[in-house]
Amino acid sequence: MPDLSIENLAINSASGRRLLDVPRLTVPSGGSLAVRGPSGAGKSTLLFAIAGLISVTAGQLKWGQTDLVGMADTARTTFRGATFGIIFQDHLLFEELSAENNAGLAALYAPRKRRAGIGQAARRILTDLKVPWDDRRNVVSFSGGERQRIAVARALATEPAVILADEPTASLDRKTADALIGDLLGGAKQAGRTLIAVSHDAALIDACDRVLTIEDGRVTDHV
Amino acid sequence: MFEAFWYALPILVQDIFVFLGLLVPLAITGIICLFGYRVWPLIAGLLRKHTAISATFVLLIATSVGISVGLIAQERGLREGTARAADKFDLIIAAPGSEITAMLAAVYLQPTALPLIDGATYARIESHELVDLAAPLAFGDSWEGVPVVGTTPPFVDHLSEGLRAGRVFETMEEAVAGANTPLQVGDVVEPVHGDGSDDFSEHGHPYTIVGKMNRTGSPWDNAILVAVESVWDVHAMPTGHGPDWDGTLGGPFDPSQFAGTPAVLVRAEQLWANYSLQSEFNTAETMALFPGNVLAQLHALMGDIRQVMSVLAVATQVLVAVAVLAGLSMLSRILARRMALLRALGAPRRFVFAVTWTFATVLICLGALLGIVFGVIATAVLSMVITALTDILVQARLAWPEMHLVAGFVSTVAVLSLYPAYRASRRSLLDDLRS
Ligand SMILES: Nc1ncnc2c1ncn2[C@@H]1O[C@H](COP(=O)(O)OP(=O)(O)OP(=O)(O)O)[C@@H](O)[C@H]1O
Ligand SMILES: [Mg+2]
Repeated sequence: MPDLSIENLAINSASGRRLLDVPRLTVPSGGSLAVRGPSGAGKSTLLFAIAGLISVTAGQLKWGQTDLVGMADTARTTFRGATFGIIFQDHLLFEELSAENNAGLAALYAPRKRRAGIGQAARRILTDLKVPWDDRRNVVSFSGGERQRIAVARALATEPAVILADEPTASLDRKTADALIGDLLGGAKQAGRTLIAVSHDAALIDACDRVLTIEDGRVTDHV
Repeated sequence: MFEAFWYALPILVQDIFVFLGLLVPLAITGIICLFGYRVWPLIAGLLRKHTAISATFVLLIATSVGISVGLIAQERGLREGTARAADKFDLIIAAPGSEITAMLAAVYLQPTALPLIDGATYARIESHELVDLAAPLAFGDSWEGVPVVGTTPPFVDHLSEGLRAGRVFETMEEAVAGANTPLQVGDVVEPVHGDGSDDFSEHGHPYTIVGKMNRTGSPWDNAILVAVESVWDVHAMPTGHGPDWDGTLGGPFDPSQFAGTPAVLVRAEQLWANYSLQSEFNTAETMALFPGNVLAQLHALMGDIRQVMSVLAVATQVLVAVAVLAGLSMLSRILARRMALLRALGAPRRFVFAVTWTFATVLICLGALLGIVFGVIATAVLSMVITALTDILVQARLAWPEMHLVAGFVSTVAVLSLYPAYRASRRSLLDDLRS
């Protein structure tokens, strides 16, 4: 299980504007980190960088021995698929697929021997999260909260070492949100899984080992 | 060794092998692209999501494929139809001139002025020991645009192989109608000179229809057959028989009373006899021709046109394919966000490639299949129209050459689609994800 270590990370936009500066950040394997801050602060940008989805302008970003900054695109994709479960802020589901196929999406391209496991996990997690997936309709017709939980199920189905979640409880009522927090963190503790979650949800922030606050592209609390 | 094996195969098996062979590039590309992946749930979803765009693509491809295969099938059908229409005309003897003109006039009843064969010549033909059937074909008159041809009763039997209704004409006032004429037994027609267009002159000689021929699939289906004696008679010429004629129609004719005929149909039971007759009557006074051969020459000439046509067909298809590929690049932009998402989730580049390629290829295959259906419909409609316009029965059907064209097209475009798929798999990830 890899630890995350960030050193003098800087990310610029294509036009050269500084979006994010992170002097130092470490998250040990199996730990949990909440990232908070006002809208537009750069939280999603940090999460994308950690996932290897955007290129880093300067600095170091390592998962264990794996240096994401210097990595070729293909290798990074492979690493991402093998290591992370990502929950996007706007869910990014395949509207035209069923809940089950969305949650088990990785089975479409995973090695044959892992397919059945991914499918089973997807169905189990959907059931745990109380998503009505039996009727095979497309996710277009699912509610916002249901979609959010499908996105969570998709991230968990591959049993990744690291969960990267962007506002995972945003569309949920308190009770459902608490249940999800329990699942995310409880499961994380059990499986030794790392959780990095962007959130405004006090319950989720409190439940994490550590909190990082970002404001206007800068880390404002001291670690 | 291989050649010997190949030519020993039945034609059908060869055709099937060629067809499958042309699909091999598609199959190989497909296997390489899809190996290890399950793309179908995504493909089905994408088709559902982008129904309108997909349908447009499929229709575009289908139309182009349909037109191409329809035209090629039609051209072959027309060749077969014209050959079938000439079947009954073993050997035509006419006065020297253009073979093609003589054939068009005698077999396809195209109005032309031909010089006449005189009585002595006709008598030589008629009395030749190898000739089993000789019949004058005297055209020139018409009734409401339907050609009226003077001939003999045995020719009617030969052409129609028994009548659909009634009997063969027995007097100079009787006539037999072709299968496609609007005439029934008992109707009365009064032909005019020529085709009735310019010097409109009635002959004042009505005929009663006493029989109707079977369908022959030739322009003769839209003709009226009368006794050649009556044609001579209405033109105020001798009737071909001496003063002691008992009124029995047909030969033998009296050479001194024979007014002349533009063409003579000759038939010998033996094939070799036909050839012998042809060389014997290809003289300074007469020209003997096999309509089948003349037609074959014409077709050979048209063969060049056919090649041009199939080159054009292929060129059209390639153009459509290029248009399709341009469209696919557009499509890959539409799919970009989804593909970016897949890559963000950790799907390999090759999977994105496979999904895009499969999506394109499914559209192409659906288009090609629908195109074959379009081709069948276009062929049937065109055949009907041509048959109605020319009276030459055209029964065009899609056959293996068209299937080969379609298979080649599908394979080519499937291979070409690798390029937009490659482009799609190379797109910048984040731009697409955040757009
Ligand atoms: N590719 C980009 N080019 C230019 N600016 C960008 C780009 N990506 C993000 N930004 C800007 O960077 C800032 C941080 O964006 P980010 O999405 O990280 O915010 P956030 O903290 O996640 O906000 P929210 O809580 O609203 O989701 C925003 O002002 C955004 O407009
Ligand atoms: Mg955000």
